Amino acid sequence: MRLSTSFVCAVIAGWVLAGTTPARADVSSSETMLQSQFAAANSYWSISKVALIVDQTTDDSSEIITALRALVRAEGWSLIETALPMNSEGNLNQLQLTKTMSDLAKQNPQWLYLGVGQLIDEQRSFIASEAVKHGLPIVAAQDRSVREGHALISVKERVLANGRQDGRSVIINMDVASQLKLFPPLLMMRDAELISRFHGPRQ
Amino acid sequence: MKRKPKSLIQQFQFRLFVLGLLLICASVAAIAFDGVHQRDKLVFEADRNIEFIGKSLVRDIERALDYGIPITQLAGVNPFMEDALRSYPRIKYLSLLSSNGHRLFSTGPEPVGSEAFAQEAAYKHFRDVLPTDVDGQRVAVLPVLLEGETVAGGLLIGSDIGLRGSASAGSFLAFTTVLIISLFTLVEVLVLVVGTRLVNSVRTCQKMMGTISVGDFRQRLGPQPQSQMGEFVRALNAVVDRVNEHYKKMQIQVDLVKDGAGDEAQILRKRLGAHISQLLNRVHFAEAENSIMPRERALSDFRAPIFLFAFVEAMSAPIFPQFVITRSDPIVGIDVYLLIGLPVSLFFLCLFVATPVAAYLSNRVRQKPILLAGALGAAVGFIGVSISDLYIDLLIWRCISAISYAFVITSFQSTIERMCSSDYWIKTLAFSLIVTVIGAGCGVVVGGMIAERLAYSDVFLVAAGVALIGGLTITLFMENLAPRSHPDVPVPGLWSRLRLLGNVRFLAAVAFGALPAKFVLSGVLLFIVPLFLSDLGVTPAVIGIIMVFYFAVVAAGTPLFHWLADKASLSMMAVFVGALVTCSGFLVLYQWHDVTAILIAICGLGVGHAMSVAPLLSLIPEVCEKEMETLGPSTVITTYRTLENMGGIAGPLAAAALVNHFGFPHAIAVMGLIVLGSALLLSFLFMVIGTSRSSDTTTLA
Repeated sequence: MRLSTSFVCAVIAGWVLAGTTPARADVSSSETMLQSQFAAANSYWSISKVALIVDQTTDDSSEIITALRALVRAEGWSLIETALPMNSEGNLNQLQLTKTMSDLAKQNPQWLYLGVGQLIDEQRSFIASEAVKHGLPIVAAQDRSVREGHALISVKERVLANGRQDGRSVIINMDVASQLKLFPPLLMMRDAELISRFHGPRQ
Repeated sequence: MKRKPKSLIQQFQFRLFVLGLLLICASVAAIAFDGVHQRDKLVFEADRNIEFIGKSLVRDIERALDYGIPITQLAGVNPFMEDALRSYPRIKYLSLLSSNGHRLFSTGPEPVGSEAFAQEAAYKHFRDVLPTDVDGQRVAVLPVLLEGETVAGGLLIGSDIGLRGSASAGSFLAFTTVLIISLFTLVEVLVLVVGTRLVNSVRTCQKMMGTISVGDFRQRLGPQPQSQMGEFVRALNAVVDRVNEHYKKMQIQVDLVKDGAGDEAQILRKRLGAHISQLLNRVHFAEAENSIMPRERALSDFRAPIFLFAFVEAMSAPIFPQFVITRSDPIVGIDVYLLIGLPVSLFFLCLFVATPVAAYLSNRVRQKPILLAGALGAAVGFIGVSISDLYIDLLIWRCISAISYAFVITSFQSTIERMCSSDYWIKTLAFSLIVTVIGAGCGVVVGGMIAERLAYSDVFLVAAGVALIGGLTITLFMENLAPRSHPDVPVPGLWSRLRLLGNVRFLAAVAFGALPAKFVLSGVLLFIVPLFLSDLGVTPAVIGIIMVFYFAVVAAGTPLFHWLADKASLSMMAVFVGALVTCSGFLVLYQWHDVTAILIAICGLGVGHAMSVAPLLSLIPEVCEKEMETLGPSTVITTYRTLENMGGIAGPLAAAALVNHFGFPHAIAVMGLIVLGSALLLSFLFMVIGTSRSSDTTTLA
């Protein structure tokens, strides 16, 4: 049994190392990834306004911000940009974040985009949970935000290939969908990876 | 000129086939007559098809409900239903009902009166509701369950009532296919039973009569069971014994005369001595005990077990990729097509590894234990696959099945080698493998039908049962053939076999001929075709019927194309044209992505393999002229057949990668071009360097 397991692992590892399946989306260089994320978000819930929360602790997000601005302009949507509030020590100002989220929610964007950055990486879960509290669904740049945080959807490269989505598939946090009462369309669910701690298909 | 008498077994088989065909024709005529007058009975088939499609839609809805979405708050239901109507044109109307039968979502023209039907169905909790005709549509309903238990609602499906005609045709086709398969199975089993119990005894007696007719009384027949044949054998043995007895008595009398004295006795001795030597020149008597004439054996004795093993192995082919999906949870970072293709690939890897071991054992152990171990291993493997819940378990059990299959097939090849003269055994091997093709063809149809009527896992249970029947057949009917014993000729080891790779022509034949053939067999027929057809909404039974076209074309085409290629000495041309036909078929599928195109591609693949596989195998003795002498034909051919399995290993993995990147039609087109490119390279190479070493010298001269 152990031998067979090792063999399968070796084959799988070989496949992954061969470069056919990138383990993580290379967010900083991928405009097409951003387009896929917003195409999925638009299929999920029609977009007219997008909110963006910017992590100012890092320059990594500048490429994404530029790409998002271009995309929003091309699609005719409107974009609300706001900075992630920080205290004097350079950490996340949690009290201020609640107010920021409340202000954003009042402007009724369909989606809040959670990009990349050091502060976002550290406080991913808190930021996303605050957004959900204010009824803001998050489309995340990294699928970890969906798996570990409270982001609603993300898109990842070829995790579940179906030949219809250009080798990318959507990942949805169903617990967040239930919390927001914003359920994914059936056709999207058919091919998506669904994450839930409380529900799931019967075994 | 005296005509050679026809072989008894050939006459028997011919009559058996004629009888079977008459029975089949009569049955088909009866079904056709019944179908014309009672078409409504066949509507059952149409209802089954709609139920199958409906269940796949219900699964998607139930999945959403299991994630905590209330049925009333399902999102994107109308696009989902519109997609279903587009994918399955036979469905005209879809409606998602609440648990009390109220319409929540619907798409398509609603049949007037369906509301009452829905209310009645809700009263029965949507269970055991028979489909009915409502306002020109066939209306059926399926329950939508929450967590597999609670009825959350129902899915009402209205389908085209004109479907009955195609259902009748489909049922007619299915019945006819089953009847033809029954014929093949019956013939194989009868050939085995009658062959081992009757025909072989008759042939042994015939041989004995032949020896007696030339005055050879040194052998007698072995013991026979109590039957008319047994009586005949005992009578024949009694005649032989009496003749030998008289000869012994005569010898005693002669000895008495020899002992006599006087001139008269001397003259008599001389004359008697002359008479005896004259007699012994013409007639041969047993000196002491008569030796037993070896029992006649025919290749047909081994057909039934091989047929059964090919049958069981192919049973799962129409549903195996779908079955793997049900056993594999998504693994992050791993393409789902790779997960599906890996067990198919692993099967060929095990064949690749186990075949040399099985060949080694076939030369050292008696045949029956190997075949029995193969039968039991196959049964255990199938039961294991059937009950496996985890992907890793599935892989392990599949390996056991593959190893068992390698043992059975290798033992069969070894038997052919022992029973045929070295000049003809390669041709015999090529044609004997047609039995495996016929068996596999029957297996795919039966497997598809079982999957549709019962469940995917039941296919493996039935396969295990048939494998055990195969084991029982071996135990009851087959002789325990001794291992090959050539003390002077040692069996070549691995290193000697590897020396074959030094022959560029052999290497080219393997790399550009045999490997691509197995590559498309495993990658297209066993991987892409079932998945693609399933994606088009084709049911498992129909997938089996479509796949059988490949086996039918190969079985019918191989002798025909081989004969033509042999007559015209155009084996290499046949290999190239075969690849061209395969590639053309695949390009048809690339252009039109429907079931008819898949059928054309499968037939093209069948014609391609029929044209190229046997002629290429027949080229090997020419290609490896020197190695055939030094290593023996068996080693060369076994190595060739072992190496071709590498194509089977690569096929599903390459297909998985191609499908993942480009989709089914493009993947098939690329694989077709690979086959054509390989054939072109092989033809070019053989054109430049020739097919044998002697052509080198000719070229140099």
